[in-house]
Amino acid sequence: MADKDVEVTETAKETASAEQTAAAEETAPAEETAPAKETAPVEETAPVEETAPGRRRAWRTAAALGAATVILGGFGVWATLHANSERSSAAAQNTALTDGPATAAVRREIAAAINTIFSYNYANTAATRRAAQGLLTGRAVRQYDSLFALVTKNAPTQKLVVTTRVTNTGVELLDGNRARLLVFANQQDTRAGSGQTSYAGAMFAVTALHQGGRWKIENIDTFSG
Amino acid sequence: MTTKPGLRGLVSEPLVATALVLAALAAVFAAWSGWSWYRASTGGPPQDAQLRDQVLQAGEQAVQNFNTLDYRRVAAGLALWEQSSTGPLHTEIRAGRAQFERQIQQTRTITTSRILDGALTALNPRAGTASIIVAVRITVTPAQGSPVTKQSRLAGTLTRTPSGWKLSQLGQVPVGAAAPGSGKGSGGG
Repeated sequence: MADKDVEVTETAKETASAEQTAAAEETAPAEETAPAKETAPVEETAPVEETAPGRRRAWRTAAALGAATVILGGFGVWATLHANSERSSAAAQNTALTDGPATAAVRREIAAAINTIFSYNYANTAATRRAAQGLLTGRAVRQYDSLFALVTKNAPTQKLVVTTRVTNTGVELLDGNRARLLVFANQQDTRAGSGQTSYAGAMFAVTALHQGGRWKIENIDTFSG
Repeated sequence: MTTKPGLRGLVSEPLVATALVLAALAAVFAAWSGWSWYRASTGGPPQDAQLRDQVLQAGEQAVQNFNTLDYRRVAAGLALWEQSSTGPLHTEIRAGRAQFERQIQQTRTITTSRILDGALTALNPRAGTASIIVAVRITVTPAQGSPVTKQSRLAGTLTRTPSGWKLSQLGQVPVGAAAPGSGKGSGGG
């Protein structure tokens, strides 16, 4: 029993001391820092001036306001980015069909341009070429030049009269002064010599640019690639 | 503790005053950007734009479905035709289905297609109708011989149904002197 008692007391001492040190470690810094500011200075300096609690409140308030600033600012940035991405999304920027008058204008002008540049009379191919000048821009100028070189060469010998009529136009993209349309057209070829007439259908995608107050053809894609 | 610094006293602290101004500015910015985001996400035009793109996509997919058929899986192919159509076109397909199935199995052809381009020519969200034109390249592979490829000009009508936009009409755009009215109409200036 005695032995055991001794053992018990010894372990009790051990644990006690352990607890003490642990508690000391835990509480000591707290006592030194936080409570020191809370209690000690109040008693000592409060009568002199109330700066310490005032400071503390000021700091706390400033910190809270700072946090609010960060949160509100963060939300603002996030919302602005979302609003911009939604406004500039491909769907929103494309006003094909959603802007009725503008869509009708580009359809009308491009259909008229196609009818003009692809209709010619062997007797006066120069007239078509002249008219095409103001309806083409960029790449389409060269595309048309190489195509029309064949026309000026062959049309007179074949006595060819070609009439092109656009039958369907659909605007895929309309973004400010830029547009893309899918165009179906019918072509009637008449050989004046024999009176022979043949018909052909064509389909192509037209890229158009709005320049100098009207829509001009910038590129013609015949889907041959 | 005789006096606690009041709200006025607190604000008179330069630090707090600065923080308050910054927080107020942040609040104004947050309110403004939140509003502009709300307007951007619920405004009218983008919704119509989204509908347009969605209807065009549905139309192009339906046209592709209608130009795809494998004699080895005729039933599945024709089921897809029925699924992609409504109204008159749907009725037409159901009526001619048995005959069509026999025909394809006799000729043993495989038809595939690629949409080259497509555009809506009209969209009426309220009525739930739209018009579409599609440029498509169709390849027909017969049982014997080499595949034949042709380009086709298709025009169709789309109608809104509870299960999405479907084709109610589809046909080739005729070549020739036909449709002088539409030629004049789009000829304009």
